[in-house]
Amino acid sequence: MVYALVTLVALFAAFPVFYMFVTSLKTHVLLYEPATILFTPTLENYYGSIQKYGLLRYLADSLIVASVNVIVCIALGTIAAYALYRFSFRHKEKLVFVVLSARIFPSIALVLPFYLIGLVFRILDSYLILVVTFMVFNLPFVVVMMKSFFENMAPEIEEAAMLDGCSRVGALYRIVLPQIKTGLFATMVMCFMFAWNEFTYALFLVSTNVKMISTAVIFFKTERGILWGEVSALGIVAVLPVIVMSFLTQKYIIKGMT
Amino acid sequence: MPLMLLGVVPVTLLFYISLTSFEIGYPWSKHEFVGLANYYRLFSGRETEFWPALRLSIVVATVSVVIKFLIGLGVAVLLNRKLKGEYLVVAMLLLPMAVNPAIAGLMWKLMFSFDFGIINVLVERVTGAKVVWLGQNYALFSVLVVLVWMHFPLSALMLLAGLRGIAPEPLEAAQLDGCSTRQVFWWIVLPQLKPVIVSSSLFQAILAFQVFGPIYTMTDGGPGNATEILPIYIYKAAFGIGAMGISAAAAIILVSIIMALTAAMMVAGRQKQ
Repeated sequence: MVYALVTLVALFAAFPVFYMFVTSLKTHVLLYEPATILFTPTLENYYGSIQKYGLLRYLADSLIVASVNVIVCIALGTIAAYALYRFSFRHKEKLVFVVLSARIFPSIALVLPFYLIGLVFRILDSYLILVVTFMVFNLPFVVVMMKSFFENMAPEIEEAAMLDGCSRVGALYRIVLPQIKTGLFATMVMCFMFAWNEFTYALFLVSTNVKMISTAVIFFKTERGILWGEVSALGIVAVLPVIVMSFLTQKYIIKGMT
Repeated sequence: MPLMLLGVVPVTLLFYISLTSFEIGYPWSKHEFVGLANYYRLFSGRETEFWPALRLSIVVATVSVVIKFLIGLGVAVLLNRKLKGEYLVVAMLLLPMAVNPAIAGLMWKLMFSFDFGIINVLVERVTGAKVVWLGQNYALFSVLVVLVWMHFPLSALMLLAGLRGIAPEPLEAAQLDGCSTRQVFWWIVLPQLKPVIVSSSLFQAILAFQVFGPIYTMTDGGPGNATEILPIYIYKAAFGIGAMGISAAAAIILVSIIMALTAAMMVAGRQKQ
């Protein structure tokens, strides 16, 4: 009984993804039979979205923006978190709060000032504006995660290393970072997921020069309606890496949530 | 520290835009300072779509928070025992949150689709007629289904962690004293769960007020204004009509709501300790 209910809930959660996957393997004729699950799968929708709709370009751009953003956020965020952990100064708590508050602001509100900034500095529709705006949600996330990893670490080892002649940077690089390797990796993966999935900024701040996978699906509207086969193929390609990553970092996601 | 600029600069700029007549298509140098005129236009109802959008946002947030809590609690209770394959179940529960919200909106649009949708196949088999899920009558219901689907796992996992944090001894003692399982749950478990219930519900409300992607791809606020919540109103005012000043004023109101909810969450969190 319990197992039946749990299975039902899990299926409810996973079904839309499964259904999109099934749809992506259907021929155009079969699309009119939504309930058909068993059929000879075809990859024509995947070929179609690569050849006609430039799927690879979307993938490449998303990869570039997300990777650069993650690298910048990890670099800056680790230093900031280390400073917050290691040094005490006045109003530290308030400062942490202000940094974190950036994360709670809704992107649909912040996209307006970022649009204006992009307009004035002529960086609309560029990689730069997305890398910068994505920092608003990813950088505070890195700071929080890394700060908690630092706090869980024994400070004696680092102090010992510094007594043995390591500089502060040397100790951070050689002693501290290796200790929190897994956490660091999980943080990077989660940042990548957030950047990969971001929709609002990607929709309004870039158009022809930069094409993000998260917004690609909405351009598949024709006079005959939405091209569901191609949309599904593209959607699956867009979510697959994220699903794999969420499996990898499940433990940390749950920890972050609760 | 320059990190502070992350949130403060855009919000300050947003507030300034809300005091101007800036419109898309004109250079920024052409903007005029208009004081609180945009806010006056919103509140006085001259922007006719603002109040309905705000009202709908409140309705959507309230209803979805309640449903997410009830389903989440049910799932948490179900999962709160030694289950085989728990890892797999949790992995499946994480899917709705891992999937790109905009693509999730499209997945559901496909499932709700009149001709191509699996839901209509089932409905037709049971009732004999198809339903226009994304039409005037059912669009809001469909949107709520998607929002609940997206975020109920979050409630479930937060409540599950809460349940697992409760010490088992008092529960066993109560049962020895003759309490039924239902009484134990109602009088001992739920009161202890209260802090988690409050913080997860407030967090869900924050999420519900900012939701944009799935509604944009699923209904785009339509048909008519049937699903036009505040974030959709903000985007339409700014990037549809081009009235950045008005849109920024509405955005400031949204930010205020979210900051109030966050403050409430922090107060609740502090009481916990």
